[in-house]
Amino acid sequence: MSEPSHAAGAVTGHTVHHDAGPDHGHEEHIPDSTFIKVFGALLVFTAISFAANQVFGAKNPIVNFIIIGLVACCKAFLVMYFFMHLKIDWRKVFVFLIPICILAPMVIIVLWPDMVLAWRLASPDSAP
Amino acid sequence: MTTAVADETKYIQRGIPVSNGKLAMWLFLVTEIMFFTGLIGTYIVLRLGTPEGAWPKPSDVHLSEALGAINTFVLIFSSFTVVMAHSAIARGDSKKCLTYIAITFACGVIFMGIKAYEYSAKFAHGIMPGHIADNLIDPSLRQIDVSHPQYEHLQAEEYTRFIKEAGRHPYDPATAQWFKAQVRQKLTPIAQPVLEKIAAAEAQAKQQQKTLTTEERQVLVQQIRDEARSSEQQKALDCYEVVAAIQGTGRDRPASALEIGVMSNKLNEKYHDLHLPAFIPYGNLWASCYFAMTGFHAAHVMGGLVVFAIILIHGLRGRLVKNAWNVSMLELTGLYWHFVDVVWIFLFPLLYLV
Repeated sequence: MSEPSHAAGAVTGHTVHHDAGPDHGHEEHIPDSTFIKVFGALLVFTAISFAANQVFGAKNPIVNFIIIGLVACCKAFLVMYFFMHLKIDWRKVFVFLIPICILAPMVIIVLWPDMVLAWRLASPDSAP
Repeated sequence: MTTAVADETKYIQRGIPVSNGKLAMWLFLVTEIMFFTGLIGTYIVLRLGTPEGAWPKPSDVHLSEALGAINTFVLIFSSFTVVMAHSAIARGDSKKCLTYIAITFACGVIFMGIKAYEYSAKFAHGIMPGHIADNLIDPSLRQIDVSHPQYEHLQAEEYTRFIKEAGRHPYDPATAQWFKAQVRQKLTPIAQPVLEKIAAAEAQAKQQQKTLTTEERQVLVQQIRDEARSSEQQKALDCYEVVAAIQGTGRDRPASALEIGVMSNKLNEKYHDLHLPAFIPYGNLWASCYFAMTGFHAAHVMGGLVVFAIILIHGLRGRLVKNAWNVSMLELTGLYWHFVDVVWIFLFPLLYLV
């Protein structure tokens, strides 16, 4: 892996390279202790989803689904907010992420009537 | 002149305040989010579109929750080590950075190893798209009087679940016939010793101008079972019982494809070398989703491993020193790896838990 100077994003002497960008060298910094805490929290959340499945898995699938779904969202949030530096970079990349946050659920929602509701209504059990 | 130099060094900001590399990586990740949303979204709607309780449970498709949990831990830990590697290089601690990258690489290899083991188990059990007999539930089973002694076994838990689905699930008589023929063809050679003993008893009865009654046949099979010492003999007996059910021996009519499906699943569980076709309602749909989602995810893990291998070589050559290029490169690689972790965070509960 070579280090091409024109793409290095480094400020050498008086030359400013194109990729240096304004986020070169974070002004804000997330300390290592935070990463350790986040890692611990991720393990705890994984244990919670595992335990919820043991307790509610067979008895109440809907409660199970809600708990496990929420836990997965919390884990994804922690990874993105701290590990992916969105805590610092959110204001720089929110323009890509907000449309995706709308589009991604829409993909599922637009499929819902034909792929979920139609089959449920067509089920012999739901017939009057 | 002094003013000109000052102007050159001044960064002129246009557009989003983010470096080109990070901009490109986030744009790439956004397309990746939509890619995996397509896969995961399809899985969710297909699953919720099936009758309640009909979708295969993890145990039906031989998915181990423990292995999934280990892989989750491995990937979360690797995400942590990547972020620590980035932090170390930003501090100028190259040695620590290299160690963290090596651990991350090892975690990726462990993840792929467990995934390979899981895939091989699926292939061994015939759990592959298009290979699963998933439409064996004859709607006429709902009309059967399960209180009749011959059908008493249909009251057992493993049958009531399927009979409940009868009529709500596609049934294909041709597949049912194919399935029974396949099972019979595979089991007959193994059940041969038992079949020969019964044929000998039948020949003896014929010599005495008699026919072997159902009760006499049952006594004979029990006698063979009592005499069975080796595991091979036991296996031959177990296989014979399925062959007899397919033939309809000792029954009013041959067993339904559903009954043979449940019996062959049990045999597959007991004897891993049999490799009988699997009977799993909605199994093909599940397998298509499972291999598409985990396969593309594994391909992403492989991509990450290649990058980490390059970084490791880079580091072993002493080039992983603190400079803006290395810091930026590790941050972008980390972004990609964390995204792979986020995808698994959703795949694990969807496939292994709920």
